[in-house]
Amino acid sequence: MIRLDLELDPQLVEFSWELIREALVDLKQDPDDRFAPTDPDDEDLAEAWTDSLREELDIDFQSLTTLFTDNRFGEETIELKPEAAEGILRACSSIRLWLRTRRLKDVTDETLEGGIVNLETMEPAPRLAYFTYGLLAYLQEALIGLLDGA
Amino acid sequence: MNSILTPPEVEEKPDTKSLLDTPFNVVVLNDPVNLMPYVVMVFRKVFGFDKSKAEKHMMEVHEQGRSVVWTGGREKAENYVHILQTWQLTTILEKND
Repeated sequence: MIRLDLELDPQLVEFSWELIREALVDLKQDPDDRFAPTDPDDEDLAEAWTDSLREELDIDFQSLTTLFTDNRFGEETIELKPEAAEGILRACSSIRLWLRTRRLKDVTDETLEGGIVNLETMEPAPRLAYFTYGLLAYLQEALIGLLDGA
Repeated sequence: MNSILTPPEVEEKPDTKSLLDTPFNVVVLNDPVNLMPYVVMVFRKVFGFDKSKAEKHMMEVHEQGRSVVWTGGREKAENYVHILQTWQLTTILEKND
């Protein structure tokens, strides 16, 4: 087990969770087309490939949902199995990719990587997307550190 | 009368054996989202790379836009592509010509 201990503003976590839930619904209906099968002409392979990715992502989304709906998240230590932590890492990546392409498409890569976004000049919706994008990265960094030392 | 002998027409068939023998590359492409330590962790976990090898491939992806992380038989290469896609890395399969 690993022990996740993050201090987060519960209200901001709640706002982010609303946006994450929207991403989860959207990703379940319309999976990312970057994940193409190796032989798209082989219909059987293509279907099995996509179904398998969807099923695995669903499990990862459940791990993330369990974490975000735990009242202790952001306030107290939460123990996680390493496999659940890995699922959360994958789910975070999936949602960050969604946020990047759907909600932060007007922000340049340099700006995002450098973290030089001026939050005060942003509209509320992209501001929340940017905050959520950063929150998920923060969570990923924490989990990677914990898994590395496990 | 034309005296030139022409060879019989032979229907060309794909050379299944050579296709199976052709090595394939597993190629990871750059994306603007995944964190560097995340990519390093995935390479170490999936391929068993040591830290410096994983970092070398991660930097190739970051700086050159792509890195060949594994080369070998098609079936195993496809399996690696699938695993890396579950980890949300943009990964493709290509013939190693």
